[in-house]
Amino acid sequence: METPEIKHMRDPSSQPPPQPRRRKKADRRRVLSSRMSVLCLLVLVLAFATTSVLLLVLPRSTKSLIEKRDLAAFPKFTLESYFSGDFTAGVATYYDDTVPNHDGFKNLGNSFKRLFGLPKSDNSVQFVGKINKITDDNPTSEPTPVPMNNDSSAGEGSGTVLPAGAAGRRMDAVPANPDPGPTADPFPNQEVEGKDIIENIMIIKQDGHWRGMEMFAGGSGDAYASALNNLRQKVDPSVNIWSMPAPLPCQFYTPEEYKEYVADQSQCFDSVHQKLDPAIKPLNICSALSAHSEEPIYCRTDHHWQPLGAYYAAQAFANAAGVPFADISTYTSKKIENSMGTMYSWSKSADLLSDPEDFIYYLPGVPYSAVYYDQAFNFSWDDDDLFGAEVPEDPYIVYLGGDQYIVKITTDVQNGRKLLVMKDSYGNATVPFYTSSFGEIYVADIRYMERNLVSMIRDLGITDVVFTVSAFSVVGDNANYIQAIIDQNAGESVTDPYPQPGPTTAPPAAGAVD
Amino acid sequence: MVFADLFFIYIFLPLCFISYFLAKTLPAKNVVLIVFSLIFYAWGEPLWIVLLIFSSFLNWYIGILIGKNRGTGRDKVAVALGIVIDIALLVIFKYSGFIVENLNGLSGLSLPVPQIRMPIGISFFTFQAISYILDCYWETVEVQPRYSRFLLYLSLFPQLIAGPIVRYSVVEEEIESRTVTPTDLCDGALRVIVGLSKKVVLANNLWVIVDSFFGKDISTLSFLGTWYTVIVYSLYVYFDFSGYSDIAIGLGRMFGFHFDENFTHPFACRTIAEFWQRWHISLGSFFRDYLLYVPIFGQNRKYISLFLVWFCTGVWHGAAWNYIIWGLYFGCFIFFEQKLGKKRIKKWPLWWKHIYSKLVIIIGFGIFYFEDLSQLGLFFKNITAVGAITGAAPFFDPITWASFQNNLFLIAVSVACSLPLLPKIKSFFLESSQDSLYIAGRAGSLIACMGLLAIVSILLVDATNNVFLYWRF
Repeated sequence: METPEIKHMRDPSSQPPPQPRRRKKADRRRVLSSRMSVLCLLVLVLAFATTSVLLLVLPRSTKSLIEKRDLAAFPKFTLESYFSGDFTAGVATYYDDTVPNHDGFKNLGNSFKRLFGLPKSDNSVQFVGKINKITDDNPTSEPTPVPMNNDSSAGEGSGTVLPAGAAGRRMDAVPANPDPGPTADPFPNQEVEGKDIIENIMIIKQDGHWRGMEMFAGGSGDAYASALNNLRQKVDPSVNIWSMPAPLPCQFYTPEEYKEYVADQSQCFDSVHQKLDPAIKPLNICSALSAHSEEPIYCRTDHHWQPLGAYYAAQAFANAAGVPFADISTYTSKKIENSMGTMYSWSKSADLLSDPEDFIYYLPGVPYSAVYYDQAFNFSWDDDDLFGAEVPEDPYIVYLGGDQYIVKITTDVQNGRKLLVMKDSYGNATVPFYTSSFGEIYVADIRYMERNLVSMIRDLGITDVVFTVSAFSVVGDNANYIQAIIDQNAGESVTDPYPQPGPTTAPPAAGAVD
Repeated sequence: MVFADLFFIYIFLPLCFISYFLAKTLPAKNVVLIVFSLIFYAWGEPLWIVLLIFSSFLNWYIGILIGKNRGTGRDKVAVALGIVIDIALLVIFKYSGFIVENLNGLSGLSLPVPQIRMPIGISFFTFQAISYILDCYWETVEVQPRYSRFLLYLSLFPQLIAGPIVRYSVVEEEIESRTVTPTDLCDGALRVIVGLSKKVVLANNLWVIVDSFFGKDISTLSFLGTWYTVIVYSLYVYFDFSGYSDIAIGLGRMFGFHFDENFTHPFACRTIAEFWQRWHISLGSFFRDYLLYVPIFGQNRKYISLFLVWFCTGVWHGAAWNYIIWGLYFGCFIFFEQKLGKKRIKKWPLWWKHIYSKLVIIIGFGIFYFEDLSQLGLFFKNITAVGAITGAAPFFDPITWASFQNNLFLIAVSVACSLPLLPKIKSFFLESSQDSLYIAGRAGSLIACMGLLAIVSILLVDATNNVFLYWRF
């Protein structure tokens, strides 16, 4: 086969000499080419030089609100870090990560990617991550591992994650004093990286709006059931223990043709509840929420429910627990406009970015006081408020200062019932709705609490314990935290330190601490 | 350090160019290039830079020995020694784990498997070194008397870590005497931008598709989903690797070096033999020139040599069985085409030639992807519809359809760019006798490249995985 190159390999001396006119033209073209090259070079040098200088002199970004993390820090030089390659990699990461206007460029890049596909219409679907069909061989849900506040393990140069708390799901932390017990490592599948972790997200346009949802793949929930059963054995039989897992939005908004890629959460909860001690009270709220799925009960741009969804869940619980419950009309609604939560951070979908939502939360109409404690139940501050600053990039953080604080709420309700809400971030939004139902409400996160759960229930006089964790926490590794807090510091006594507080810690600043 | 990185583009490269053009003499410019090349390599391999320097010194000295002992028989010993040490280094760093694992598997032994991290680019600079000492022995190049110049050849950062495999003869003269014109700088820079765009705009985003389908258990991946993904993967490998080659060639040009082309639109081929004349040309020509025609098996055993070449091509790509299968797979088709004869193949209708060659190439990339042989088995089950027929996997799935709709233009642009369409448009303008068309062509390519540079820079803020595929080879 003759290649095009062969044409150019003919002996030039065999060709007739160029005519003077043709030579003149060739000379003119050569001059033109040379001038064009110089011009082109000037433009290129100008572009490269300007960009290089601007990237150097403009103030560097330090935080990413859309990714909810601190950007990379300049690495420390040590011989070890140099020879391992960490230092040089860290320098490049620092430069790349802290580009001036980091979030603006990220949003621009994500918007550019919208051009890759056909224009979107209603029922358009995008998938991010590795989507598997739900089969018998594939029964385990693998939730999105969310980068979270991790003071020690987040490496310099890799970019640490903002202490966003409510924004995500903690997958990395081990309780402060875990009892090694028979299983030394209760968290076998820790999966945390610095950033850009994406797993199984569906983004769909419904009724003119984009919605991002994590896809639930089911799971046995054995660890969850076992931990609750264990707790049931260890606390006084008079204490009511409730299991009220929170379904994820894919239960209600997955189109029919994609149903085989998500597990049915209602069936999953029923199956888990069947494994519970009969003295534990199960509450499957899927049907209660399903009745309101036309209302904005779930965030479209965040992985949490909207407070309205939490309201219906709390209502179902109050009805089951036989306590009074105030109608939502008695609450004062507040709106965080144009919010854009985690589903955008994780999926980087420009379609979500183009369609922000309003996050509407509700202030109780009844008086209450709130006290905040750290994870070890030391007094932190009291400001009589369950709500913090509004952050449109992380609207759910408005609740309880984030995830990790233990909170006590005292109300005027005189029914002698004391509630302990054991939760992950999903439970946060339910708490304000209990202010007309219980005299005292304690709130603690299964992932952060450093005290013994059995002692807390006993020593604080708790009458009702409700577990409100997301479906992922029921079937995933987070369930291991429940057993860990049952085992840790076993036999200790717990005293509420509040009436004699130490120096008061200032409440967290918006977006900085949760 | 990687090319597709803001730090490289806006810190390393400007500093390198400023230093290079401030140096007044060629030796000084060469020193600048050596220093920046070593920094470039040490950035990713602070420890194994010692290996690069050792390899360069050894091969340079072997060259000296060959030159001094020409015709005495000692030159043979020197060249043999050089090749043995070079291959031994490659085997130790790249294949020792694979060899021991297979030895254990075959013999039932449980020898400890060496866990050696492969130095970046070792396959490329070792092959360049081998080509140099063989060329010295065959007297196709002059022995380089100065170590610094040989070090520059071997460590030159544009081609150091992922090729192309530049022969010493290609840069021999330019190491000692070269000029850089505004046209070199301009064309080189535009080529770099084109290469970056192939990597950052096309390859990185094609990889997202591939990873979402092949990066999991593929037992339930549909027949059409498997075809869709492997086609996208073929495009990904092409843009990733040819993008790197474009950047290397462009950077070389900006420093006055003229490297040979490494890709010439391989998907436009009509036969498998032609594909390999267009794909990773520097590797194919290396094996052709240094292995195929070496009369190891005698004159009448050309087919053994052929399969040896394809075995080596496979092994070169990685220490796993799938690469060996991949190499031999192509060897089989080359053998088939040779047996059939060019005349008979020429008689095939054009459409059939294209279907035949693309099918072979695309399925070949499936073999190339799956290092896990059980996954490779599932891949064959799904791509041949056996999975769909037996009910193990569906024929079609809605996820594939959604992905196709969401990436239609990305794939269409990728297919268009993989064919020789843009060069034809470019030559229409640049080879026109009308000055206005010529100016429009030059201005158009400049504007397009400036736009691409802006897009690349923006996307690089968002990029997390910019490692070029061929780094691991």
